Amino acid sequence: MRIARSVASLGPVDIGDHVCWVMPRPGDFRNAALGYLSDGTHLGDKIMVVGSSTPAWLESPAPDGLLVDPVVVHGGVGWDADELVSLVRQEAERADRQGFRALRVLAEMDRIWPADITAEQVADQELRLDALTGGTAAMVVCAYASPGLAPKVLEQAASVHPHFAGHPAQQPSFHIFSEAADCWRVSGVVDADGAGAFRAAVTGLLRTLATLRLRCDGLQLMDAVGMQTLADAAAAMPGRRIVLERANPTVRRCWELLGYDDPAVPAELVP
Amino acid sequence: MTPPRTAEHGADAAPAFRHELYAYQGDSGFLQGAVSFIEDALATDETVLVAVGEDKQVMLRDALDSSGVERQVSFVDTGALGRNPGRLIPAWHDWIAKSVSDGLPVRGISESPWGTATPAERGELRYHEWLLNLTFAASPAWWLLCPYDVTTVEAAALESARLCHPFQLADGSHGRNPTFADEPFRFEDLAPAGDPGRTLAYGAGALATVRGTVTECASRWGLRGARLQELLVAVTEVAANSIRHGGGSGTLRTWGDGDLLVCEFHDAGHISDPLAGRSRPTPGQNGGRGLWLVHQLCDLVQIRSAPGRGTTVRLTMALH
Repeated sequence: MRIARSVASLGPVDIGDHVCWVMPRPGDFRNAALGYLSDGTHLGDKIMVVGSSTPAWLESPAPDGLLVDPVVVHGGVGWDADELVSLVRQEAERADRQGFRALRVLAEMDRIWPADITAEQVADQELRLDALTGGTAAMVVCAYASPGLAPKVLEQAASVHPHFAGHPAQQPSFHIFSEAADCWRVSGVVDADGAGAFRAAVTGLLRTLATLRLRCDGLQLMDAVGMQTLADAAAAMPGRRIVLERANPTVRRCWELLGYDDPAVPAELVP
Repeated sequence: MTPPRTAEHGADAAPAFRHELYAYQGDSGFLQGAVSFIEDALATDETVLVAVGEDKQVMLRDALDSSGVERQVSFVDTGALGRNPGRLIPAWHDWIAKSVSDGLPVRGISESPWGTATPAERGELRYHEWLLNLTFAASPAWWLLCPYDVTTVEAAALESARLCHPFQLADGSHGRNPTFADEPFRFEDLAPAGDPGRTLAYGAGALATVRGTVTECASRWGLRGARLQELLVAVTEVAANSIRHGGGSGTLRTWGDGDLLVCEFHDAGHISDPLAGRSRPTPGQNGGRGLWLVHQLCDLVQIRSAPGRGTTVRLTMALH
């Protein structure tokens, strides 16, 4: 079972992890990235860097490593992020066939996303990448340059990864991530501060799922805005529904007090 | 007893809420007024909801002739509502709606726990009585008798009650209350705040800090578990209201007071609707859920709001 966590460094990153690494300064990137890539080489992982030919790549002793620079591939413009999901899937399968322990990915997101990427697009793409990462022998670190991306995009990105590395002040209040093929997990606190990111994540998932199952074991608190977000998101897509599983007694009580236990509401709380 | 529909309402009178004070002395006085009120209702095939303390329920059950009582008289469990008077109006809405949907005219008897309420709770009970006129002004006709035992209810509460009940039962007759005053409610000042240690100023993005501050104080005073979780939801709602509707920021003070934990918020906003948070939200409505949730989760909610002076919301939770 995947559990949301924050890490101080990239050292503990393991197979199945999908880390949002918010880099406070460009100088921090080099050492941390080098360490992450070197660990992979020692452990028998296939290394893939999606980004620029950074010093970390040039100095990393990874003879079988792969460098893909989206800017170079597309002549200076950002990638269609679907390509990242496809590339990771393809290289994970190839690494398995080649006998590597796992595929170890470092992705420089400001090199991948177009400059005008929206929070909704980030949610959509990262959640698809997360479903892939959770189900394959891969680990993916998505490096987000804090000064380079809009705060709303950073907040969205952090909330749709199960793992976070970076300054504690930038930790997301909640995480939503893949639990199994047809099931997602939400943990932390969903309140008015994070409701926009939560809405984008839930809406993105509902586009592809008739029934969105959300496991809530790790959900500490959800306020009225969070609950309204769920009910509204499901109601906005006729035929879709949300099922909340294993919510704590306080969440359950608030859900009922707000009248969402009405069968007409296409979001349902089950044991 | 003089039936009010003949004494005060003509046959063509519009349906209206009849809010009636009954000042009595001791148990015998209570029984005299309440039993005759119920018997009058039974005689005209009306249904009666009785919301009184357990001891008074026992007295009434013993005193009433059992025929027809079970079918037409319901004793509602006010204990399940907890101590917060802010939960009484939605409860009456639910009870009345159910009876009206059964097609029967409705009467109610409601006696608040004046004897055991704290001073702060008594202040909110008085406000609840005043709000009843506003709440049910446009509702289907029903008649609520509010007994007050003059031997136990403090003089200020009785004085306030006389001002906000348009009708009274006095000397065996139902009629207009000459002391009723259709005027704004006069709030008492909140009791002085305890020593909060420090005041937290919060703004956008600070809901986690608000919860952290409350958790720290709750931990010092021994509030934990589900009660703490419910308080954290409530403080999140109040702080979010400040940020969204109260000028974008506010201040929080927390302190312990005996076996109570108190959280007080202040912001620059104004809550213009005196019934805010006292009606059950529907799933499809926009907003209007935060204060409802706060009233349902906290043991007492005191709101003081005026244009130009901002809004203070004081939440109280019993520690045990």
